[in-house]
Amino acid sequence: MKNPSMKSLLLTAAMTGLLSTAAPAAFSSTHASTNSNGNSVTKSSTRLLLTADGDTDKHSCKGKNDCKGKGGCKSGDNGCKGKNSCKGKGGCATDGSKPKAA
Amino acid sequence: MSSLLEVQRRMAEAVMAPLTRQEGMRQRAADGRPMAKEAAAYIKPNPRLESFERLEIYNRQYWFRVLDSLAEDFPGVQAILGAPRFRELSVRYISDCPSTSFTLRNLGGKLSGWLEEHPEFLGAQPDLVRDMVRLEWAVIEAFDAAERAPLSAEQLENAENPHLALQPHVRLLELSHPVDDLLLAVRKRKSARKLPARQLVQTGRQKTYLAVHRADYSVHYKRLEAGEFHVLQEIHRASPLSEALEQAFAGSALPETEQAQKIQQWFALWMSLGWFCQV
Repeated sequence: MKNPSMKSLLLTAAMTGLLSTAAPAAFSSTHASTNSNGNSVTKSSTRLLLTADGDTDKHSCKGKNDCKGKGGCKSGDNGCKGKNSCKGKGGCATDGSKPKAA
Repeated sequence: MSSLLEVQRRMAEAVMAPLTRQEGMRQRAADGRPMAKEAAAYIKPNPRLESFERLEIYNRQYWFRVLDSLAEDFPGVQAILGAPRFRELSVRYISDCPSTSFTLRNLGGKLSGWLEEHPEFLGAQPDLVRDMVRLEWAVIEAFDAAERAPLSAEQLENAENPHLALQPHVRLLELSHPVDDLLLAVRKRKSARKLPARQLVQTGRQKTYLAVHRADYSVHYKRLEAGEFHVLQEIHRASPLSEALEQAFAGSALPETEQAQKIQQWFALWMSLGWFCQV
């Protein structure tokens, strides 16, 4: 348990920090410019790391709202992914029919 | 065959039954019934495919999809365990915890708890795998968790000891390994191959505090000091600010002025990141 004056000092410090900062938009502009250059973002001497390169996996659709509320970015992209079982059977047609020639 | 519901349940059971080693549909159901007979009960054959073959397409596509989905969500775990062991883990996990949601986003949500009941799948470095599972699930949660309007300075002006709330997308992790660095290394390799033993050994035990959060539609990690983590954790638990600050330097010999300086810097940064919202 800290003494009352110490508690007051820390509380004042926290409030000062909270009130000294501009709106989060200031971060957004910094971040956006760095995002396209690599993984690391430096902000106020603090390391922030992007969790993924921009061109990988489902997060490649980050920023596109069409994924929201539709089951992430998963639906429709994994059906026969990497598996050739459907080849020669007309894709994934469940009646065994062949796709029409284009 | 009676009701539609019964057909749906029987077909779901067949579709979600594990595949053979050759990735085909099993010849018999779990209770011993021949699958050819089962399929014929509710699927008509056609000139090209038998009932069994038509049902098998659904069975296979279910497993291909959920296995790919889990591998996509947990590349770090796969890199630690290696693809064959991860595959074994996945089949068993999905058999026990099949997809029950409209979205595959939720498929891995029970993995951490399930692994505690099945430690035989954790491999040679169980705590490393545990940490990676927690991190990768936190990334998924941070990716699409809600974001509320950030707290503004105006809303704080008259508050003496405010209750703060963290944005729903901020996840706090106390880990025993620096798996954030390991996961970045895995993603840079863009390969499902198991990580070299050398790299795994290098990821030795190291207490690691992490915030996983979202900014501009991208998920980020941020390393935290122990004091930062504990303050944020108390805020997350809805403690008043003064009580949260009690946790920052418990047992620390840091001079009071330096403690205050750190607190000010931390709160300024968190505010700039938009981590606080109204209670």
